Amino acid sequence: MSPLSDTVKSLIADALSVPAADVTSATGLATTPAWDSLAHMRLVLALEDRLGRQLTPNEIISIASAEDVAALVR
Amino acid sequence: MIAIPTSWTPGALLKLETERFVLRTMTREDVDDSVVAWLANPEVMVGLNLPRRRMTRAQAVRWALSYDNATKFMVLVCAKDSGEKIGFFTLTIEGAHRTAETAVVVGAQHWWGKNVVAECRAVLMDFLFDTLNMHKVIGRPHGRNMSSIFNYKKMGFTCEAVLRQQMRAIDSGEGEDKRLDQLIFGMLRTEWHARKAGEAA
Repeated sequence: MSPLSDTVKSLIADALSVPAADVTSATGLATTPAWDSLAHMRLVLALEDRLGRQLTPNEIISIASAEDVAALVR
Repeated sequence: MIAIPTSWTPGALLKLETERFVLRTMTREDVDDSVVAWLANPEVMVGLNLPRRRMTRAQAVRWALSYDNATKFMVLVCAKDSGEKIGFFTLTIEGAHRTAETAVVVGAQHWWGKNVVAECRAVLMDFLFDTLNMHKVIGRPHGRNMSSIFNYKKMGFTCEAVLRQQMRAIDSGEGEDKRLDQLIFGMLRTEWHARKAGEAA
């Protein structure tokens, strides 16, 4: 498990409206109360902005944790 | 502990409760201006990929009453403390195969992001599996319905299929040719019970 980049922390923090310092590898939709459905939508759209393309359905389905976000941003 | 009825008479009115919500059969009296407004709101209906429906109240009542509480349910969600109408679920039963499909509209937008769907769908899952003896429950959101995908994933559904370009993108504002993928999420009865047992442990 590699450390999260500042980019990933920032993407997630903005979507969840939490401090970037609170985003860790343990952050996920099953464990983090701030990761609600609206936050999830904001996160997917922010990721698409960052990548400059629409995510595929399989990519969208894969997103459940900070680690999953990191894998898409790499 | 929320009590789930142990038996069911087809056609009877349904009433279930969660910690924060009452779920009950949508009746003629429930279909007021707020419900009609949900159906006409593209921001609300786009999640279902249904065209917004500019219905009169009478038309909306006929639509609601077409749900028979035997094979098709339209279940209104209200806040337990205030009685505010928040949205509704539809449940469609395929009795021969003991499968059911759920769909949801959260019409009161200030409730978005407040765990309404997961809390209510959980008690409906109990009803479908434990009262109606369903074997499997599915949902079929389109591939851009992030909130719905979030809720299925959070509840432990498995994404079983991606049907490519399965649907026209209705009311997307992107033209007639825009297509959407459709996802099939499924939960088996055994999986639901194992999940609940895990949460209780």
